[in-house]
Amino acid sequence: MKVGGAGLGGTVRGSWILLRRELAQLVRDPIAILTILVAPIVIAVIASVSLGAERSFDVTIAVSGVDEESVATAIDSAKGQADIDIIVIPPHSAEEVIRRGDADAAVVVTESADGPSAIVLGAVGAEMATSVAASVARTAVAQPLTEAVAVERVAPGRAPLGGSEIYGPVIAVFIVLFGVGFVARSLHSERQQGTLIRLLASPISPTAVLISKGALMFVVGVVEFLAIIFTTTIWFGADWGDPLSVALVTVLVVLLSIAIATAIAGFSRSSAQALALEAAVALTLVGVGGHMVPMRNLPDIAAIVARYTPNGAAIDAFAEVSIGSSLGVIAGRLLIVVAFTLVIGIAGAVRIRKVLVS
Amino acid sequence: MRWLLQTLAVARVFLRRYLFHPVNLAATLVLPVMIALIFGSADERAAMNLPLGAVVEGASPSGEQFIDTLEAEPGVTVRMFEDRAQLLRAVRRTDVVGGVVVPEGFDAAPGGAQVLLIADDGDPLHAAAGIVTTAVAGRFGADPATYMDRIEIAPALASEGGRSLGFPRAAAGMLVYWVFANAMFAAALITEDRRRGMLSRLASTPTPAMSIVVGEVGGRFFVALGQSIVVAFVSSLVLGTAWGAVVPLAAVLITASAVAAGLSVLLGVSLRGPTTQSATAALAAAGVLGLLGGCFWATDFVPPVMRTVAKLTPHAWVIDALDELVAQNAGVVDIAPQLAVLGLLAVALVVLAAARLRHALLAPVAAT
Repeated sequence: MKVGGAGLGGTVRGSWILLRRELAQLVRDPIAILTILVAPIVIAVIASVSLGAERSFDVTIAVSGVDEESVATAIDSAKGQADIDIIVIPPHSAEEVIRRGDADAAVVVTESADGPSAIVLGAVGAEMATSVAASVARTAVAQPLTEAVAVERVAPGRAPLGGSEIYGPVIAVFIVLFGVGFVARSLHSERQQGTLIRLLASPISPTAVLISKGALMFVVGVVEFLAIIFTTTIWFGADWGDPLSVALVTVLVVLLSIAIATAIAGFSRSSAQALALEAAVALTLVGVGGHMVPMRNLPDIAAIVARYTPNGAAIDAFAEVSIGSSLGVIAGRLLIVVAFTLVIGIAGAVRIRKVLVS
Repeated sequence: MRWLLQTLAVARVFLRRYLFHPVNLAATLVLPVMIALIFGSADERAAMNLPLGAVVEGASPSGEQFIDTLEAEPGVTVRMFEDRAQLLRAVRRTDVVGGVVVPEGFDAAPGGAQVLLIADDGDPLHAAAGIVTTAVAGRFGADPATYMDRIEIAPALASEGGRSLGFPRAAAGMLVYWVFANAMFAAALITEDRRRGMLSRLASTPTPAMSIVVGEVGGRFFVALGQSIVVAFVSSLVLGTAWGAVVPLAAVLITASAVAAGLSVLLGVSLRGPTTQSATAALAAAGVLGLLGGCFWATDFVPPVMRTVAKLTPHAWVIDALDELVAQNAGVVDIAPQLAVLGLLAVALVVLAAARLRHALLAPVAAT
């Protein structure tokens, strides 16, 4: 059967036939189904259930000392909707109360010639409760209180991004990045088994081989994204935002992964090297790109660096799309992804052609 | 004596194959500390920092003073925005955990001034931001000398039921995750040996089956234990993590390493298919167990059902024990339930793994 031939038509026909063969192998491989379809869904479900739980600021603050009533009143008037229990304890028992786990923090007010002052104690792991108690204690001892300011609480309209809306894109990009090595490993494996040389001896061009591998990765990447988008949307009510914008960012991330895969295939000489490069590239990007934690919790410099990594920029773009920002707002982030894709992809393509031809 | 030498030889072969690979070495010694550093610094900020957004509309010296007072609160950092729209976007994106708007005319209304707080009452951090903002508003105008240096925050105390956060929690999570992930990845070596017929060839030598079983389990045990000790030591030096008393820590690390070794061999003799596929499946399983077991986030913050599910993984029991050592200064008696569960699990896994490996060794080549 003549499958390739010269020219663009031959390349497309050859790529299509190879892609069909690869897809047929893929759907018969239970491990591939596990890693491409099941793992992303399972991880998305675990992260969404674990991190999307409704929580409240539920703490117990103990107060004692000379002006315990004013501290209790200050906490009560500031707590708003927060679930704060106030317990009044005897003097000198604050440390014991904390150590027993009966309170998260304690405010002990003492009186001196200069006026009241306080010591705030807190348990390990209850640092936020301790800070909040210290703020309220400052108000309780402050003098004079003549120009107090009123605080009007306003809802932000759309609720802040929930667990599945933050971690859905993070997991999707993570999974796609960790899958970049399989093209390289598959190429090296075909080379070792001798099937690649036989393939290249046929009328199918090296370009058709490369296009089929890229197309396979594209299909796999899009399926992984769709699995996570549907899981988080249907089960957890995540709002990913405008479908067209989501599709655009998804396609760009998948193209980025193809570019990285091409580079790994081009610069590695064996399956083992490809595996090592894949792990190094994916872990570096994931670590630097701010995947693992909300961006607000990263140190300032790390947050800036994360926004300029292609994966960090993509996750940032997904967050913007999710809260309803327009394409204009995310254009800069998308340009970062495109720039990385072009630079890495071109370098990889030049290199891999040499590898294939040799 | 001969039996011991044969056992040691099997263990030595495993150690050489596993540890002489740069990727395995990096995953064993470098990655756990590096990722703990990233997780830990983020967790420290999440636990102790209250990042607020703010906008001062119009020129307002009093408004600026209000924001300065807010920023001087313990744990509070304030990020300024150009206008309300940008602030609202940051709140929705969760870049900040609440937005304070000082409206125009704030200065012109002494005594009756008002600020807006954009916050979602359903979020605990927004609630904390609300309390701090209200506390600052309640004393605005008071003489700072009467409150600023009059509140002292004492060092945090270990408590019953207390849980660690920040670097100690991240280091414990990463130690446990990588011990199990590497052990499960090492399962692929047994799968490879089976496929290449190495197990059958080994079984045909005078080496007793029990030597092979103990050697394979023992090699993995020493890798897991060595990795645990190195990660605990380096994280103490680099991240300042305190791991509690030595004896209970040693008990936890030894039982955890035994569980990981048993799991590794059991998985190795149970997996089928090419080595790369087995390794991929083992790593996927390690990832899922790590996520469920609380290696990446504290199970105290997850719904009760996930806390129950976590208890089905050995990871959760190890982390629970380490957490008690760090946050509660626990001793061996305090963590006896966790040690008992891990000990029983280790015995069960090692016995099962030994039985299956023996079976694989003695089975005909075609069946393996």
